This record gives sequence, structure tokens and C-alpha cells, in this order.
Amino acid sequence: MSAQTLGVKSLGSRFKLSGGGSGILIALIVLIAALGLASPRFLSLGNLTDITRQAVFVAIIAFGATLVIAMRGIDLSVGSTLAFTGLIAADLMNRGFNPFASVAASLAAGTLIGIVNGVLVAKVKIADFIVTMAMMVMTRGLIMVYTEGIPLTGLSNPTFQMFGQGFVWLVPMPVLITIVTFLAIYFLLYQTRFGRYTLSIGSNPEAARLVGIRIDHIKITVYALTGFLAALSGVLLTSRLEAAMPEAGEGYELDVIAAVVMGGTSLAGGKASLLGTAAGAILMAVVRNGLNILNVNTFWHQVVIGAIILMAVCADKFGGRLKEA
Amino acid sequence: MAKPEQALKITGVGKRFGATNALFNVSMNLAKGEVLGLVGENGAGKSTLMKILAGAHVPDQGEVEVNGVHVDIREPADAQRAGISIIYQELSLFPDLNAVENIFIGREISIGTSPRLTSPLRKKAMRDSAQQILNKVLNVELDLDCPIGALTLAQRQIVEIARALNSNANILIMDEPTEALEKAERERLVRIINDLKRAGKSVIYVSHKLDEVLTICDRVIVLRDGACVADLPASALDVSKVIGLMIGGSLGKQFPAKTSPGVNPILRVEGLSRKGAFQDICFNLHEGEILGLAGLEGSGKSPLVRALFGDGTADAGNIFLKGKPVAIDSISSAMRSGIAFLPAERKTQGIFAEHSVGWNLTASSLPKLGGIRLNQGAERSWCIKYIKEMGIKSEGPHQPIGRLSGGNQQKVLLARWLLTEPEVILLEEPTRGIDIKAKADVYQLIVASSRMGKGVIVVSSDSTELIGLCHRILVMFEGEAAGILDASSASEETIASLSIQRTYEGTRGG
Repeated sequence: MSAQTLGVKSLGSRFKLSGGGSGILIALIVLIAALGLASPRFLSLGNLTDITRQAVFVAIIAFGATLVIAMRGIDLSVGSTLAFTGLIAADLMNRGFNPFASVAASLAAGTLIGIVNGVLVAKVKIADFIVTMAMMVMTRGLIMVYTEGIPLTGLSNPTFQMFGQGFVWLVPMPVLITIVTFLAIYFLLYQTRFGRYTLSIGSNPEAARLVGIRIDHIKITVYALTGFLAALSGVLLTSRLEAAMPEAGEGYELDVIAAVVMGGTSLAGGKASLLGTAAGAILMAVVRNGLNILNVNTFWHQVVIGAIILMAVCADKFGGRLKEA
Repeated sequence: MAKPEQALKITGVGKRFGATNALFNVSMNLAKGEVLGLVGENGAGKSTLMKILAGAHVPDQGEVEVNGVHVDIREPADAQRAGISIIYQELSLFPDLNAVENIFIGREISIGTSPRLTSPLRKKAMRDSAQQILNKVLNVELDLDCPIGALTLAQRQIVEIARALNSNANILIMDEPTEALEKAERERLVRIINDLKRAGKSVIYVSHKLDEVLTICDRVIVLRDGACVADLPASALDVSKVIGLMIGGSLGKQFPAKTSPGVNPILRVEGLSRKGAFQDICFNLHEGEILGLAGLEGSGKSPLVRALFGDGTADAGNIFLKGKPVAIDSISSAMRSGIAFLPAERKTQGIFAEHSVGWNLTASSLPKLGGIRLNQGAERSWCIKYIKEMGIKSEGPHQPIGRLSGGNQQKVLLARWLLTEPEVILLEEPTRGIDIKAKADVYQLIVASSRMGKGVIVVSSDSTELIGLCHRILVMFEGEAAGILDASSASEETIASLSIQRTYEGTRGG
């Protein structure tokens, strides 16, 4: 990658972590070191693998959500989409379809949900918050109608299990898929017109329109991509659990937004740090894992996570101010 | 010691924005019952001075005294406490509330001696008090129950003045108060100003309409490049003297020499119409020609130029580029046809503030940088080339555009469109809010593009600019072309009279 050519760096795409991005990276390192000191078990290879495996489901979606948020949008439907598409894959498998066909159908369904979101936001011009919230509720409702709240189990096909449980050399398959996704989105965001346009829309929508950017096309594409990634995450989770859980992905939309915002992407749009998002997703998993290892009461987990989100965003804001001054 | 009748005294006020000295060592007095005119070109420092008095900007140096007492105006509430009130051009009223509610907004009368936020309102008292201000002080009748949004602009302005008076303002700053008013409404405003004067209120009257300033005001202050260059009684001035003071006598040098345009029309517009915006517009734009577009706000000049860029399309009529008919139904189709458009509002419609100069410069030319992956090396060399050619003062392509001065930002935006290699360049208020030096640079760049055979249309509310820069000027009135003037024989007066009335000595059509 030509990250080192002057052109890339100097045009100020977030090639290097800066501002919020570096804050989160430091926080992550400090936290890992502290947890390592507190419990030797934390730094064991097994546990670190666990953390990464935990982080990937949020991370994959958060890469898409980074684009959505950089475009001044929001997508609350991702958690439900994950469960819905996971269910589609599981159901098709149970009906005897080929695993690849099932996965393809699942990914297509996720993309379709994203397109519907995008069309309602960009063409019908309904507020993104409302559209994706309605989609979140509706999709979850459909899942409940279909499953009556009972998990769909018995996914014993080894090919399907490979997606969530397989290894390539020593790397777990979901981790590998996450890395590939990261690189692909990274390329899209910083090296293509599509990425520029997405950030331009977030930076100044009116100016973006007046330089000839087809705002509606870009918006629909970004929502579609996020739907696709939610489905990808759904497939990995279903394959990992060998079951489609009706309540899978509940609250993911908030974890995803937290990861993106902690990573330094501003809700005001215009700027994005994909590396920051990855760090944010890992941080969330590290915190959950650390609290488990330290035997903290699960009810306290939410309190701690909420506090960390607040601290990360405050630090970001404060750091930004210091830089301006 | 300040004389007791002094309402406002400003001493040595200065304000910098980055590298620009917006205001430099400005001092002025305002007596009680005096109307003071404040004039100057865009960017001369008028609005900075007003914003300092209104508490929107904090000055770097200088002192403000109200009624002989030093006041520290750090925020709008301080200005209000000091009795200073601005009647804004963009009216700052609540359209869904009625006149009484608007007049009392933020200072409602409630029942009880120390009312709380939840205390019941004394609606009758507020209504009577509003009535009193409107009828007795301002001598106007107004429907007090009608939501403000349904009133005319002039009536809303009166409500705004009443609100200022109700907040015990003694110093009223009026920013282009007559810009959108009809003749009768203007006369009423002049009467109101005289009434205010008699009531001992002081008025700072900011306007571009110099003849009006000279008739209404007692004294006139002229600002140029952030400094006060004249403070004279209105009786000692006339319009041409004021213009001379405003531009420092450099009118001739400001505009580059005109070149003669080619004979081939590059853009031909025939019978272009959009209901409610503009009707039956016909004109030719030749190679190398700069065509001015003049007219008041609402005359249709802005919708017309935007329609040529596919931003809101026409219902009827034809557009020909180099003799071939083109369908412009979207911005992208206009861009494909080789049309470029620089919008008037640089901040809200032009720049991507958090991104770099380079990013901003290439924003409309990215397709040229490769199919999928952007060729960022080529991008950088384009940027360096344009930054040099256009004399953009910056640290290089990586500097955030938000840190540049308005003039340099404007040059980047101009470069953005030149980079698309357009045939026709549409410019909306290309020099609004930039300093005189940058203005001259922008004029040079516009003329340089015209020399390359491009057709240029300049929409501007500044007649001097249109006369100095353009070959011909199309004046619009109520959506129609009131006439096309030859710039060599046009004057501010002819443009102004065409702008406010349809027929003018048979120069109709074009």
C-alpha cells in the first residue's frame, strides 16, 4: 500500500491515527497491560484468542457503521439484521440447501435490508434514526414470529461450521474474515472516490451536492454495505454457535456506535478513523473479558462499559480542544 | 470624561482573524438621538464591528463605553444589558409565535413578585405593553394575534424593532434594513427612525445604499480594510465622495483590462422558464465573454444561474452549448456538459472545512484520478500546480482549508472548478466577504479564464463589480430579463433602475 507516498499522507485522509484514534490506542494498551498485571490468565494465548473472537462480530459491523457515521448517518438496525440474516442462513441449511447458497442468501438479505434503509433515508428523506429504528424493531419482530422465540439449532454441516470455527494456519476463520473486511473498507475509505464522497457528504452535504456527488447513490450504497456486513457477522455468529438465536445481536447497534465513536469518528460526520474503530471494538471486548476474568458482578459490566464510553468521548473532545489551542 | 449625551464611545477597537486584520484601531462616538451611518465595502469591517457591539465577537483590543460607563461585551447577553440591540438582516424572530410573544420572548411578564419559570404569564399586561410600543412609540398598527410568519417582511422588521425597544435598548443597530423593502415600507422605516431619534434612541445604520444613508443619517463613518477612513457629517458628503472613500480611489486598478470576446456563442439560452422563478430568458454567451447577472434578491438571478447548473431545472426553454442542444436535468449532467458553478455561500455550500486544501481542490474532478483507486500522486501534483498558479497562500495541499483566509478559500474553490476544464463558468457572488487584495486576484483569475475562451457568467449584487469586470450585464426584474446592458455604457444608476422597474429606454430583451 502506498501509505508512505507523500500524496496520501499530506491530503489528510486519516492514514495515520490522530486525535481520538491515538487516544483509544493508548487506552487499549494501558488496559491490556493493567489486566495482564491483575490476572496472569488474561494474557494467555487462549484468552487473547477468545477476546479477538468476541470482538470480530461487533468489529465487522462497526467498519460499515464507520462509513455511515462519517456520512452523518446512523444505523440502529444492524443488531436485528445480524439475527435475521443468521436465521435465514440457519433455516436454509436446515432445509437442506448448500451451505454456500445459504450464506449467499443471507448476505443478500442483509444487503437488501441496507438498501431499504438507504432508499428510505436518501430518497424518501425520512430521518435515518427513525428508519433504522423501525427496521430494527420490525426485523426483530419477524424473527420472533418465525421462531416463536426458540433458537434454531442442529447446524452440524462441517462446511458451514468452518465459517465461524475454522482456522487458516493458526488464525481463526472469523478473525481472518475480519482482517480482510478491514483492509477492503480501508481501501474503499481512503483510496477511492467512494470514500472521498462519503466523507464529503458528512463534511458538508450541500457542498457535496454542488460538486456533483450523487448523494442518494452514495448513501444507499453505504447503508447496503453496512447491511451486508451485519449479515456477514450474522453468518459467522450462527456458524460459531451452530444455532440461530432469536435474541442474537441485541444491543449490538449500541456497541457498534460506541466502538466507532470511541475510535475517533465524529458523530458530526466528515472524518473517520477505521483503525480507531477496530481499536474501539477490541476495547469493548477486552473490557467485557477483563470484567469476567476479574469476577466482577455482571450487573456492574454495563456500568463500567457506559463509563468507559463516556470517558473515551470526553478524552477525545478534550484532546481535540488542546490541539486547537 | 465622556460627555453625558454620549450614548456610545468606542476607542481603539481591533480584531484579527488568523492572518487578516478585520478591524484595526477603530474609534467612534454616537450621541443620544443620533443616527450614524456605517458604510464600507464587503470585508471592510462593518459586520465585525457590529458583531463586537452585539457580543458575537470579542475584540482583541479597545474599549467600549455606554453612557460614559465602560462595558465589557463578551457575549450577546452583555450587549443586551448594555442596551445595544441589533436588527438583523436575517430576521431572528419565531415565525409561529405572534407579535406579543415575539416582543416579550425571554423577558415575559409573569404573576408574582419573583416569578419562576413555571409562573403563569400575565398575557394582558404583555399585550397592552406591546400595543403601547407599537402604537405610541412606533406609530404603527399591527395584528397582534397573527403568527409572525404570516406577516410581511416589513411588519416583522417592526416587531423586531419593538422587541429591541421592549428590552430597553437605547442603541439600535440596523443591518441593511431596507434591502428587501418596498418603497412605501422604506418610507415608513425612515419615519420610524426619526421617531426613535426623537425618543432619544441612537441608531447605527449599516447599508450599501449610499444615497439612503446620506439622507437618513446625521453622520457617516466609512470603513476601509478594517480601518476608519472618514467620520464626517452627512451634509459634507455625497455619494461619489463616499464611494471614493470606500475604495480608496483605486477603482480603476482593481479590475484587469477587458479583452474583447470572441464571436462564437458558447452558450445560448432560449426562452428558459421556471414557474415562479424566471420567465422567458434569452441570451447568448460568447467565447471569452464575461456576462454579468444583476437584480435584486428574488429577481430570479440565482434560480436562473442554478438552473443552468442543473440545480432545480427549467420547465421550458432550450439551452445550447456550442450550438448543440443540451438537456441539463441534474448537476452531474451539467458537469458533463462542461459547466462549472461556484456558489455564493462559501462556508455552507463550498468548502469541506475539516479537510485539506488538496481534498477541496480536487473534489469535483475525482473521476479524472482513476477508475477505482485514486491516483494520489497525480492529485498532489495538480494541487501544487494550482496552488502556485492561482497564488493561493497556504502551507501546501495538506493544510486544512478552514485555516485559510476567505480570499484564499475562494481561490481554492475557483481552482476546484477550473480543474474540471469547463466551457462555461457560473460564479455566484465570487468576491463576497473577501478582502480587496483577494478580490483583485479573483478578478484576474476570472479574466484569465475568459481569455482562454471560456464563457463566464457572474452573478453579483455589487454593480461596481459587474461594470468593472463584465462585458455585458443582464439585469433581471421579477423573473424576467429587464434588459441587457453594455458594461461600457452602463452605470450603477442604470442597473439599479432596471432592477426595480421593468422597462428602461427600450433596452428590453436581448
